[in-house]
Amino acid sequence: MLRLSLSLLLVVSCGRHAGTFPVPEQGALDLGADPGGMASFIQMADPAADDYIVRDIGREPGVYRWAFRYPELRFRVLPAEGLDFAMELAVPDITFQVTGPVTVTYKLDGKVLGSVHCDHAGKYQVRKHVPAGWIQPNQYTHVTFEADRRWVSPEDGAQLSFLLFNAGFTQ
Amino acid sequence: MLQVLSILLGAAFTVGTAMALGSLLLNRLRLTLYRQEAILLSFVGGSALLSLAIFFLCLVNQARRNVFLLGGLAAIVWAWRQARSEARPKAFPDAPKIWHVSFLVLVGAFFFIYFFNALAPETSPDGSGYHLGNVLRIWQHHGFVWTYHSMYSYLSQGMEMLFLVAFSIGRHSAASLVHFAFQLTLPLLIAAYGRRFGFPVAGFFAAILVYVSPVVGKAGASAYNDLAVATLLFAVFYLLEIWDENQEVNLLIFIGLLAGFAYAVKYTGALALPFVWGRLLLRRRDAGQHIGTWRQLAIVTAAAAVMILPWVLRNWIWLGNPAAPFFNAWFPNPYYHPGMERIYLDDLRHYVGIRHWWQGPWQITAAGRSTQGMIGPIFLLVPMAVLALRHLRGRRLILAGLVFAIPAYFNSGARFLIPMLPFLSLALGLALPAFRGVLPILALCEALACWPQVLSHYCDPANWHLGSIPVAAALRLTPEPVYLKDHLPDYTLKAALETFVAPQAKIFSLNTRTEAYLNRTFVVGYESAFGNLAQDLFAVAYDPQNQPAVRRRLRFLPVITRAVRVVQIASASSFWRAAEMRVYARGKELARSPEWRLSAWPNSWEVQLAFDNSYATRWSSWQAMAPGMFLAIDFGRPREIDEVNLEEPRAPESKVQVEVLDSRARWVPLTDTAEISPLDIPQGLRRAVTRELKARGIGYLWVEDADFFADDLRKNASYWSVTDLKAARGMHLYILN
Repeated sequence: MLRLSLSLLLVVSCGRHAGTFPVPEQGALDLGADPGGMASFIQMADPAADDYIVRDIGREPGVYRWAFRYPELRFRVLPAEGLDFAMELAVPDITFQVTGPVTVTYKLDGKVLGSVHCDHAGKYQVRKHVPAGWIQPNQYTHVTFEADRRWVSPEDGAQLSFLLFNAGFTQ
Repeated sequence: MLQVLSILLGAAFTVGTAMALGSLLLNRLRLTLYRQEAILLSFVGGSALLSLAIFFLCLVNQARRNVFLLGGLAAIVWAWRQARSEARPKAFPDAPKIWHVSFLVLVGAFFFIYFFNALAPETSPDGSGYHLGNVLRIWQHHGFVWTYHSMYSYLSQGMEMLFLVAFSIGRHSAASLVHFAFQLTLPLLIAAYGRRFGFPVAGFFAAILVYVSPVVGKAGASAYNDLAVATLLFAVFYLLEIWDENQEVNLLIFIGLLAGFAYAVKYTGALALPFVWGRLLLRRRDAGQHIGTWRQLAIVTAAAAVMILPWVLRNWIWLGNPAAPFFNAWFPNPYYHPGMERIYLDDLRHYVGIRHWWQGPWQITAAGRSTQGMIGPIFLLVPMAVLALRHLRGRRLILAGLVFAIPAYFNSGARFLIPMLPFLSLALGLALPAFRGVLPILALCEALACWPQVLSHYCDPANWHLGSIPVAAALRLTPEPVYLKDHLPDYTLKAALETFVAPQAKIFSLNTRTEAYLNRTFVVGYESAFGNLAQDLFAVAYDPQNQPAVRRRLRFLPVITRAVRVVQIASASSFWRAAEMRVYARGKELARSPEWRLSAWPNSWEVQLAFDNSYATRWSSWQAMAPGMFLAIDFGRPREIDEVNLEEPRAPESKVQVEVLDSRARWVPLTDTAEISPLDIPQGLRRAVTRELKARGIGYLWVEDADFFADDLRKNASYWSVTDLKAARGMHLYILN
């Protein structure tokens, strides 16, 4: 009786076993457009700026944000032709005194688009035409920056490249 | 008028058949009962037998009108012939005339309200929703529909079995009238209890309090089951009291049947059987009859099992969960998620709008907003019932009332207090006679205070109660469709639904619809695992918080293994979710192969959602995040891998580790260090949702303006790829293009 009860309990308590399953039919990841979402240009003061930051750009809200070692942004651009890449950055006096002139190179999806040479402390505006075919419409485009000299904090080793005010694509 | 006759015939035939079966049963059991209580208990006991018989007919798909008529008439004729040959049982001793008359007048007045409300087209939320929705579905298929999945179809449906008989003749209102019959039986049984045990005044008093209670009136005049279960629980108590005096063994069979039927009618009725056990065991101590008590327990349990097991076994075999739709964590199954069960139960327990403890008694007795109904202002006097503790029967009544009030702890609805009312009312009746003349005054005041037109002056406008006496609608002088359109917003889309939507098509809705009148199949967001999946699709497309916003990248030295899994090592109250799991070797994703086998714990049934290359779908544990949960791939042969990625919504509380299967079939942990980066969510999620829904057989959406995605759907219909077919009263019927 006890054995029967225990067996029954075991059977009942197990519930239904799912087993394993094959790989299902694979879907298509891109099915057209959605309204809203990411734009082609972002001000760092915009509350949505965090969505554009992939890595190494400060998360503290403000009109500018610190770019660290490997800063990266992403955009979604609808028209793919006739675009300029534009950004505003600054090298503050306090870091310039340590680093001296800085060259910031910017790449689109890994391809070098251009660079800006900052030979004094202050604000710089960048505008560079994007060659045709570099951007796929309505797809994510990643922009990475690389400063050849960075200010390194003597206390915690944090590396600061420059201050970023805005970036993106314009027509 | 013909329609009214068919409604009355349907109800009368069902009640008559039940009484005939009950009469045959009581005769076979040779129980010594008074005439009045024998009639009432015949109906109650016969209902159990009829319900069981219909269950088996549903099992073999023979739930047909002719079968009901044939079987019912046979039972009626048999019982009638038997009654002719038997001596009539003796009647109760005379009760005080004034109380007899008062009882008839007050109960008669409320009977009039309740009868016309029950006879009017059924428009109660659960009645026109799932109670009669289930009945309609079973009726159309002549039996249980195993392919249809909704938590409401998993509940025991002992009452729906009775509804089905009435429905087969008189449709919806006939079913309501069957419940109305239980509503009338309860006060008569309470009065009978008082008369049998020597306190007729308290009995009549309690019967009036219960019958005029607004929530009793509303629930009893609807196709619900609360009055049936309350009647059964009281009948069980009543019979135990008789058994206490005469020790008839056959009485235990009857008690067991009714206790089991209480479970079959409503899960909360499951309390009846342990109550009976407790009572028998407690008496054992008094009487010292050890062996006899165990036999008694066995008899009661066996009789109850006859009524309980059919429903338990049905769910166990059908769903893998004998207690479905509850206890899903104990009995995992692909049809209802434990997490959804938790959300559902938490919601039921939640009192909206009660901020201080003292608001509770007012809401439950006189306001009725937060508790979706009220039991009547006199029950504010319930503390006085403690005076009944002076009497043995008073103590028993209060104990029974407290036991049968347990479900009210889990459900804030006033309906869940109905089973307690007969006991507390009787206890009050026993407690208050010390104050001369107080009982008639209280009974009269309560009846006046609960009269619908009076009630409306002080209760909350949102209180669930009978507000009128719809004589014209009941007699069908107002055409049924007109009345239904006025009282059921869903009914306004009925014509469009049945014109545009093919009979076999499925419609997704976030909320329960009035399925008893809408002759199509709905997939409701919270009612099934399938509904959860459909609702989750909308949540993902609409709400960025639900979208796979990050990639969790776990890298390790290259390893050759046959299987890999990602194991959760954190705990949190949220569910663990993953839109996609990908495996890499030397920077390239391993192509998903037909030889792979996928599994997960828990919720392995939906593991494919993490491997379908669709960001609209996602696998979810559907349980609170806990260590040991996993997503696993068996490659079918050794493969070299060095990276696993999870693409998931932001979940900082989650922490996972990668494990691989070694040559000795042991899982070896490799790393729990994850690099988390934003994920580029592709466009077209809305369209992806439409595609996923269509792939799963859902072709239409029933959307209310208040639904969380309603605005987005309306503004961006082309992005969703849907077309609004018909809109009315804040509801839209969309077709997926």
